[in-house]
Amino acid sequence: MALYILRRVAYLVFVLVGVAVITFVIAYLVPADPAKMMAGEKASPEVVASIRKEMGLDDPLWMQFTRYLGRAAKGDFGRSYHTRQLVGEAIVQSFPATLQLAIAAIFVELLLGIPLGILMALKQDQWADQTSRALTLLGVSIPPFLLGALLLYFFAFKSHLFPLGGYGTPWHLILPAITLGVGGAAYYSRVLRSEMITILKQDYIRTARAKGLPEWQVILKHALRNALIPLVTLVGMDLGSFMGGLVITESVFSWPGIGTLAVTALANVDIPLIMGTVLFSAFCVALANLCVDMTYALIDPRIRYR
Amino acid sequence: MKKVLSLSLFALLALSLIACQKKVEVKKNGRYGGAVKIAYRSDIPSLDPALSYDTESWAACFMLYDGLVGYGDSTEIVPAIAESWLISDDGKKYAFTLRQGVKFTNGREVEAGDFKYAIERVLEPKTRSYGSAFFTNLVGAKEFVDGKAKEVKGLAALDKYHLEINLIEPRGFFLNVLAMPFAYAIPREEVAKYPEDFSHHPTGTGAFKLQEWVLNQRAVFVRNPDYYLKGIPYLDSIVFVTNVGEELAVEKFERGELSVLEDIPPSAFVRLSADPKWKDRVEKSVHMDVWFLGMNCRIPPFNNRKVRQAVAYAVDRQKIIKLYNNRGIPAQGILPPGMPGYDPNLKGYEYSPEKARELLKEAGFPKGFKTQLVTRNDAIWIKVSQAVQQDLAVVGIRAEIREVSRATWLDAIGRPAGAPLQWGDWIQDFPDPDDFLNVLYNSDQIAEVNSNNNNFYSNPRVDSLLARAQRLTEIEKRVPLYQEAERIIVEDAPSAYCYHSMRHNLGAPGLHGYRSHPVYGIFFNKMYYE
Repeated sequence: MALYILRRVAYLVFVLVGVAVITFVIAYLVPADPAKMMAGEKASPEVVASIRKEMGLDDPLWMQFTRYLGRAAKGDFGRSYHTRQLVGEAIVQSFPATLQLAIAAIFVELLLGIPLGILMALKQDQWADQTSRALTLLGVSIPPFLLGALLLYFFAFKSHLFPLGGYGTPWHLILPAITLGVGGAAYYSRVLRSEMITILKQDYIRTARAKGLPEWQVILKHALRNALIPLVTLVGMDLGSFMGGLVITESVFSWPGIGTLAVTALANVDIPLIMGTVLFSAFCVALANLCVDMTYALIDPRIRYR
Repeated sequence: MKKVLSLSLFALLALSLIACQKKVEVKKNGRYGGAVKIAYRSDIPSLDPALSYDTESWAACFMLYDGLVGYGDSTEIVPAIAESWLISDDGKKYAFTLRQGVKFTNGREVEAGDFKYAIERVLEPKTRSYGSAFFTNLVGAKEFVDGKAKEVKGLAALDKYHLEINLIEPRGFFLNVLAMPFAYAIPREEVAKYPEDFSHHPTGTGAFKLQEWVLNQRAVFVRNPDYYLKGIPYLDSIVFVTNVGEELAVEKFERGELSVLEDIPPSAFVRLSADPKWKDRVEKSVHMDVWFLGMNCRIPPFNNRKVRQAVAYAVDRQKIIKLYNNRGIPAQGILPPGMPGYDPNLKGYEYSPEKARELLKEAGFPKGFKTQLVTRNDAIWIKVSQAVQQDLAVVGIRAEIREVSRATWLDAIGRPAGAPLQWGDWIQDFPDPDDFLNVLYNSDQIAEVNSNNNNFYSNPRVDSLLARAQRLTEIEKRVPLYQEAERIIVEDAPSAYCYHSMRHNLGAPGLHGYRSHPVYGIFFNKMYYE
């Protein structure tokens, strides 16, 4: 198991270097001048040229990238071109907001998705199942920006039940978490429904019932445990991608997370900040993958790693 | 130590302004106290005046710092930390006398050396300041920038309260340059404490000081009790609520969570202006800008004057202004109303597709031609570009619209082969015609990359007029030269000048003083509640 973890960490580093190369190249291929973006529309060509020189932006691409990698390896991700703030500092300041939203969204996904999935499986093809399936289709289809805007309008602006975007209290968290969680909940419920239907037909479930176990124990303790395995993957992947930034939801709700940072970085061609947010996002996804794989062994004793 | 004997060298014609301790009118119906909250789309990039060159940063810097000079209620230069100054009759020497007792928020008195330090810091290459080009005309600036001198010879702190600035060439707008945040006084000891992060520890002399700044959430500024101008500010605090989109800002304002909307967003403008609750609380002002359809004079057929004039006749300005909810006034030329040198008698191009077709025929394009219009991928920019596309199609010009990001647009318009046509704008840095005409239309502003003269327009007569105007110090003598230059440029039509925008600010009940200042924009120093 230890060897497996070490191997996966090595893969992680390899993945991050690959992501760094691709992102760096793409950022430089964009037909835009970071020095001009920093200096502003009205800056003279001489000022822009001076900034380019000071930033080393006239150096060959490979030299700039090597310089970046060398510093990144020591934990120095540079300073934002736009604000001059340390990239690491900006990410650390923004991460708590994203983490809160990510965890809250996962909670909504599970809180809505698991009971709905169980209901649909138990009432397969009955009206409860069909109605639920229609609702989940809506949940999966509605874009987050539209759902978020609607929730803000009706539950914040019109009814004053919730704050109008922003950050700071648990009350601020509810609408963005619902916006993010609804789509995932819909998807989880369908996956769970499918798994549960298959599992409920298994011999060991028949055995459990034949032994006289209460139905709730059969469903929750025996069937659900196995049906959750694919959900573990989904939750892990969601958590990983959420922690890397939630661009649309953060924009709609003025949520000061990594997504907001990434959008600002892209708009300003702020290469250090683009690199920092993308690498951080890649790290979160890769780490989430590793955690998901480790969790399988806990849930299913048949799975072991060499 | 040089004595003020040097001042005796100045001729009688030197301008002299005697300041008095500026008394601020205490509003009869106003009160002290209260907070104003305003939303901005993004966070403040910087509170370091050397690194501030955008709306949010300048709005904050105008509160946190002061320069030698500032602006009164309009575009006239007034004393700020300098109580008086003299200008030599050749326009190359400026001698400032500072007020005594003006303090930074760290308690230290401001000295002449602080201004020398601030400007040298802007010129210093490692600062990477966006304002360095404004000070390259100082004696010794080049040697300092090249590392051949340890200081700028043309900046001399004669003593604690006297500063002398020497220019290589006279510049009639130099006081306007000094009124920009780049030249605001900063204490070197505070920069030394935070060499890479002075932005987050701003120490100025302004009416407000920073209390709290949370990334992508808010910045809170509180009254400076030791401000050198007695009687202001009226407000206790200003809160910049950052990272708020336009639509959300409107909802927050209507719910009372914001005190002022700077320029009502297009999506809410019609509704709010007609709403009985808000319509009397809208304050209008002309923005010092010009919006235009720019043509690249190096890319055929826009190298043909008649083609450019045809485009100028083909564009329906009133239709474009309607797309902005009538929040603009048609532009006859380049300079906006309120700008020194604005010529109300200048006649531009009226909407006339017939004249446009006639000119195209004379130019050898009776059936029009194909071209490309580069615009930003912003909803209103695209809408306007589509309207322009339709106007041009009427006269046979088939313009394909290319929507790009702001960064790509900036890059494209600054290159000679980048954009045949562009929808764009120009906003003032300071209220002087040079800031528009010289920067946009002088041949010496043409560059192969990041060209400010992004029409790539060149006219030796215009260059000569602009050069002469720059060297004069009296605005009365400069204006006729700029007006003549503007007439020639408009006739040459490197752009079809469409409109100057109007700001429509909306304030909460009881709030006053939120009308945009022609230079400062929303200016918090004089806002108050009744």
